Amino acid sequence: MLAVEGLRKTFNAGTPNARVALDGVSLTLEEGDFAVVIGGNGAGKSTFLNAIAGEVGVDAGSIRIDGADVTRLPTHRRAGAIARVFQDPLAGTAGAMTIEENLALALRRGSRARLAFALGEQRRERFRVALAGFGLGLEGRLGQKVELLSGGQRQSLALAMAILVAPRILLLDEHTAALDPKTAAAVMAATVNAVDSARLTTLMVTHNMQHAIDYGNRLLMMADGRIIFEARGAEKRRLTVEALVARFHLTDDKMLLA
Amino acid sequence: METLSVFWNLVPITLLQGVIYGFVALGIMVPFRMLSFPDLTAEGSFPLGGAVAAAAIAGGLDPIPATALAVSAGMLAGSTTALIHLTLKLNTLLCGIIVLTMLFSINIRVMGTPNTPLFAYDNMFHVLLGGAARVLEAQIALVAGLVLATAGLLFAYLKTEAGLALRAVGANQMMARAQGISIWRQTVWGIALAGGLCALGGAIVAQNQSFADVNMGFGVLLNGLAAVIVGETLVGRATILRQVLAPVVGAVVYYQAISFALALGLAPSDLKLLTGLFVLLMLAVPSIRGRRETLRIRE
Ligand SMILES: Nc1ncnc2c1ncn2[C@@H]1O[C@H](COP(=O)(O)OP(=O)(O)OP(=O)(O)O)[C@@H](O)[C@H]1O
Ligand SMILES: [Mg+2]
Repeated sequence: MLAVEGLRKTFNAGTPNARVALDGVSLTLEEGDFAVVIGGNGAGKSTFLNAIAGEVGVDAGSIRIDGADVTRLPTHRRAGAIARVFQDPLAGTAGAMTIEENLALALRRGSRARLAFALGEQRRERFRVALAGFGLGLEGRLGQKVELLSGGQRQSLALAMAILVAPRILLLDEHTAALDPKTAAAVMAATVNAVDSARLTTLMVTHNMQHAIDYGNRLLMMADGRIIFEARGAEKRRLTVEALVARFHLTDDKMLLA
Repeated sequence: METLSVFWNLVPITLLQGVIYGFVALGIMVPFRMLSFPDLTAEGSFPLGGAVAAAAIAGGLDPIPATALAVSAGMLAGSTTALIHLTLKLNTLLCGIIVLTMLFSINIRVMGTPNTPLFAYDNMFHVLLGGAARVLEAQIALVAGLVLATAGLLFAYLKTEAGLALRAVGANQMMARAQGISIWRQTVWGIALAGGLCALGGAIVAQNQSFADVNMGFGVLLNGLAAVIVGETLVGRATILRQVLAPVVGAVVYYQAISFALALGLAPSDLKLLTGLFVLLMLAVPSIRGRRETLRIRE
């Protein structure tokens, strides 16, 4: 499914500001794996996801999706296989376009845009169904511009867009971190629901230890650009927040011991 | 009132000017509003359109293919600006200035001289209007029909999947990439389209006045921008339909306003100053308003 081998990335290499963000990261995700990534600030989590998506070019290593080497492909040529939800609710949607136009783009993610009208009644019906599950009433506002939505609504739309057409790989980077607790819980519930029901192969970054314990079949911890700990299956199920904290002396403020 | 009658007599000829410049205003709206790519190439692609059409017609080409050639040249100019920006990551305004300055030399090369008279040749009005070629009302109807058809096509395009991809690049590049849209492809295509529209405007102006001049582009960008702003004030830009109609309506209204100012006795040479001040004012209003709002929030 996803096979990452020996990824290395140094930002500002050769300058006094050089930062090693990825220091030999390897990871294989099997079909249906739901891996949660934790680690302190600057551990390299976002860089790792950006490298998989193509936003960050790597210095060494390889990325394969379903056996195809995509290491040198630009973001837009990987988009057919990868869907993302970003931390910033503004990042994943086009504010100047309507809800239905955003969804129409997502419907054709990775395929060549055609010279055919993007919206029809059939598509709108599909969008209504996709949005109704979030219980935010967005299905009744298809023609409104996305910039009118609240952060939580916008992030729900971004998630709806990511799963509208099941991606081969779903990348989530602290996608509930910018939301208030209630909205965050709703978006997380919708995420887990979608990932479970479609068995999406997922990589999710979070600072919430409870989420890391509760969700996914694999847990990865990153530090200094490396994966320093991994638990899966039964071992992951046995993990507790206390055990994680004790084992890694986690003192990071951002680690929410919810 | 003498002023009024002077203005009134000029309304038809100004209307023709307004609809012709509707193409230019459309060509300025696309980069600014659809692609968030502030582009100055219009100032060079407009005279390029005039020069290419004039040179081709004087060289014996039929007016319609000559006009098509002018549009292609404008598209090439636009693509050049876009490609310079994409490869060198230079500010879009600087890319536009470089291209429009270089086009000045190219336009003289194209024509062989700084200006080309076309009085001896048939132009697109002769081809499309036959015996009515010199009838002002017929010319207005023809160009108005053409510019509205162009706006209609642009509107339809912006509603297709391809058009959505173009707009996504202007709205949010990160999101566009994540949806599989090539920033390069859409930017080059969009700026090329804009260049083509501006060149079409230049080609029509040259044929309408029966000569092309290398200086005919001077100030066209600011005029076009003013037209877009006037149009957006009158028509709004909340929907794609409004956004596409605004430049056309704006161009028509703007040139009538200019004509009125001239009828009042304003020196033509002061127009650029006034247009500049007008655009400045219109651009300042939202930012002043915005500042007041933030002040209010802080209170
Ligand atoms: N575009 C960039 N330019 C320079 N340095 C960068 C860039 N992006 C990330 N870095 C550096 O790379 C390192 C890893 O950053 P990254 O954003 O991947 O961390 P993270 O694990 O996502 O942290 P956080 O939990 O704070 O989001 C950091 O030292 C960061 O400063
Ligand atoms: Mg991060």
